Amino acid sequence: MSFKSRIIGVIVVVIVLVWSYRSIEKLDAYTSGDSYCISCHAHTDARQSWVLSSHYSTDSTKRIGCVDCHLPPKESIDYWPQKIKAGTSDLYSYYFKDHAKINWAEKSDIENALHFTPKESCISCHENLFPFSLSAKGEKSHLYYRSNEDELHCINCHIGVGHGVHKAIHGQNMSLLKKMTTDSVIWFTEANRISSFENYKEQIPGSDVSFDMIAIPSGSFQMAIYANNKFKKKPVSRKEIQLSRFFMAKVELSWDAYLVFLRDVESEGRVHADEVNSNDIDVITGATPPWGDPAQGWGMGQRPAISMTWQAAHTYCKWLSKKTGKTYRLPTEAEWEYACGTNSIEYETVSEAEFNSMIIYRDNSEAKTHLPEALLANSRGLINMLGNVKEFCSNWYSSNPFENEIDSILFNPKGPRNGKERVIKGGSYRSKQEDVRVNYRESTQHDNWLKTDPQMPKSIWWYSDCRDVGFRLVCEWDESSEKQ
Amino acid sequence: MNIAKNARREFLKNASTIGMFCALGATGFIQCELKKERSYAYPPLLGQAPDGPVLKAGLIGCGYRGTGAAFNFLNAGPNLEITALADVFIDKIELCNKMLMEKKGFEVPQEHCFVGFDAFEKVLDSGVDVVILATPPNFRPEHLAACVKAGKHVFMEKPIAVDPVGVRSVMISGERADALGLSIVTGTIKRHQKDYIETFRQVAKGEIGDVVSANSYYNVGKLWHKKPKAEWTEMEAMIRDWVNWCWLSGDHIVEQNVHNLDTVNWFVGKHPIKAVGFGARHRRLTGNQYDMFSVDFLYENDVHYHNMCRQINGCENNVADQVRGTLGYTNCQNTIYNQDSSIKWSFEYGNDDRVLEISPFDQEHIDWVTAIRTGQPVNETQAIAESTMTGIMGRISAYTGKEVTWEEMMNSDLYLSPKHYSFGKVDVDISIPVPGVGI
Repeated sequence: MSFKSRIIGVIVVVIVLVWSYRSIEKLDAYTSGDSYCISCHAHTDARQSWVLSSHYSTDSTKRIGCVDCHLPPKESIDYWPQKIKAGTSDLYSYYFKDHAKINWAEKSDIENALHFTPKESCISCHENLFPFSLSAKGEKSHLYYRSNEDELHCINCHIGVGHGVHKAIHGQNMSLLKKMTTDSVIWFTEANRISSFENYKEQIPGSDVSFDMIAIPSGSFQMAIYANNKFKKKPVSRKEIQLSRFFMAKVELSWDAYLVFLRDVESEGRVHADEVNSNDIDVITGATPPWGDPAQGWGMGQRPAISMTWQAAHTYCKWLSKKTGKTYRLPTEAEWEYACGTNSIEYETVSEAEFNSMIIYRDNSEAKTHLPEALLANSRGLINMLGNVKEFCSNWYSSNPFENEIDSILFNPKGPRNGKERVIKGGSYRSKQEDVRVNYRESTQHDNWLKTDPQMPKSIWWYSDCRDVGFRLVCEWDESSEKQ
Repeated sequence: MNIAKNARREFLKNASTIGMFCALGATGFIQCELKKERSYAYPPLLGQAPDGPVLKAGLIGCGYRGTGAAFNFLNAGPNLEITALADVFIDKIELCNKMLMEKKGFEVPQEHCFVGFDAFEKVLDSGVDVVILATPPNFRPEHLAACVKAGKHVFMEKPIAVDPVGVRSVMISGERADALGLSIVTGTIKRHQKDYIETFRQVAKGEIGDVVSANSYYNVGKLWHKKPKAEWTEMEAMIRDWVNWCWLSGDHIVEQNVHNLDTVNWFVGKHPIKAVGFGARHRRLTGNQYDMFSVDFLYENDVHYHNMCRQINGCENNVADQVRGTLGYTNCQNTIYNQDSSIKWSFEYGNDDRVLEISPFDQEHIDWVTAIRTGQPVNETQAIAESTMTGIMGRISAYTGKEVTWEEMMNSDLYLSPKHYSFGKVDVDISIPVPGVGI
């Protein structure tokens, strides 16, 4: 090759490189523009809520666009891999997915938002965590973040700053504990007395709150435990269970019913766990105000109460027992399964319409809890056993609770003697269809559910990071009351 | 070792960036920005700070250590001046000025000598570039916050607070100093001693393996005390006797022993997560402090660190650290030992007396001025804040007899100082703590 043609070759290569560099730069700028994102982002609400947010109307003239938050910063080595990944998956869902079926509300849940909001993007703008204008509470919270940087993402607390006008309540939410003053309500002066084993309506003395309790007859059933909730495989163990009769609440405990308790025992101070665990019933006191809004802005009323700790639910039962003279408690895992009824619905055996009319789960929930009255009851007359919110059981959690049981038939089993976490049963508004099953079981995650609670000691009353677990009351039947 | 691991991770991050950059070639997809990591494990340790425009320093706290620090600053290099003095007692300022005149041939003019609890603010307004903080440590958080807000570089003596509220305030000031590009060097002197630094370099290289335990001793005689005089108010009597009052000094487990706590935290690469300790008071004549502490600190991964300190005359004295690893151990100062106690490595002093050429007290000021004049800010605030908090955690455990956790410290509202400073009665708790319950 002559010298001249080599020169020409080099020039051509340089031109091609420069040209491709410029075109890629342009392509990047084009595909990173807000209008480009919005042109195919079928998320109807995304643009509006973004315009309403503090990231659109910023203090400076700079407006924060889609990729500023939803891709890593440009100087990051993850920028291009993430951009290609996000672009490919967006294109795929644009052409091959039914947009009407995409659950946008669920996607803005903190658990999901964490996946497409890189922390380094937040930090690339918000370099200074301690501006002189920061409040004392802000200083404390950011210092808490500093010492837990590996576990926390900015949006664990600042969810909602990118879309909508939602502003997280930071600090203790005292408004919940204000007494209500409505003249027209009927206040119950005493609890309902029961003399026969029939459904009854419980009324909480000193409030206008009542709820239905359903009589569950005694009986037996086969209880199976599956490893890692894999139901298609052989169960790890199976036992014949026999249960005495008991009452179970028709619906998951409502905010109305929970607030009576909070207002009755509220305290602004701290009570340590060991004091609450004491058997002295008089120490049922000291529920602290929640951190933020435990109802997630969905409203309270008859919606199931959520965010309380297992300890708080347990204390609630003790408190209600004292108020009503009956024995209320959390159900055992066996009672809970038994109460689902013999014809327990599973997604494979009923029509979709039937399924939807009985269970609030991921596909019909719009990512929040629902009022129970619109739903049909199961064969026992109970509503939402499998959906809406997961429910605390009294048992300690063990992956194989029958491990040390020798008998082939168990009477009123209470589960392992000790453990670290408690059993939760049922699905929730966030559960996938295949997880809405009678024998689906999980455990509480104490530490994980208190991740963003900056208090010390952390609250024993409220989980800061758990929004889909509540509880359902069981009342024991005193056989002697029937004989009388 | 945490630090070694971090350095490795940083290296890998940079290496992969470089690799990618090369792979992509001239397309320049990535603005490859090799961030200069500001690790201050290894200060440059120059013999003298480089020349530059005059740096005017204000000295806040003109006691012996403050005056000493002023001399160390003046020794650090050319064009360094002390232009303002502040103290709550005028005699301290006069004595400081007298020594400056004797040894350095100048004194700070009267109009730049400020007396009183608000004197520090006047120093900051007097046109100084940098500030030396050498008051008792309870004043440090407020003084540091003011210095940072005024945009001044700071040299501050250890420790930096006496209670968790103070430590957290200092941590936040440290973050702000970072954002402002200020240099903050602290009186944790071993981090500026070549022998300690070279020993640390060996440990960071993995020469003793993973750390499995540590212990240290700060067993010395009593420091000093001042009996109250009739003409003094309670406040004056306490401040003049400050090394004996917990609200002023943090007790000696914090005030003096923080050197050892800092060394071990430095070598282990993190702070402990809990402490169980005890202590007692037998010999002190004034104040409300203990004479001795013995604390078992626990780091992550079940690494225990036993720390003892005592200030009583006529007992066995020893000031030393030891950090043990899976492959050997070190005294942190100058030697790495094999498990069988044979010497694996030792620092070469280059003289028979085994002393460093430059006084470490001068060295920390040389390092500070170097950082300021070369525009490469350093900030030791976080390290000293953590070491101070470590001491406070141990102290509270000894005072209460209970286990105390780091998390509790980070959330504790304990604040020891009076709400307002003035000469008169002092509104603080001066009881001597007694742990546990009696029969």
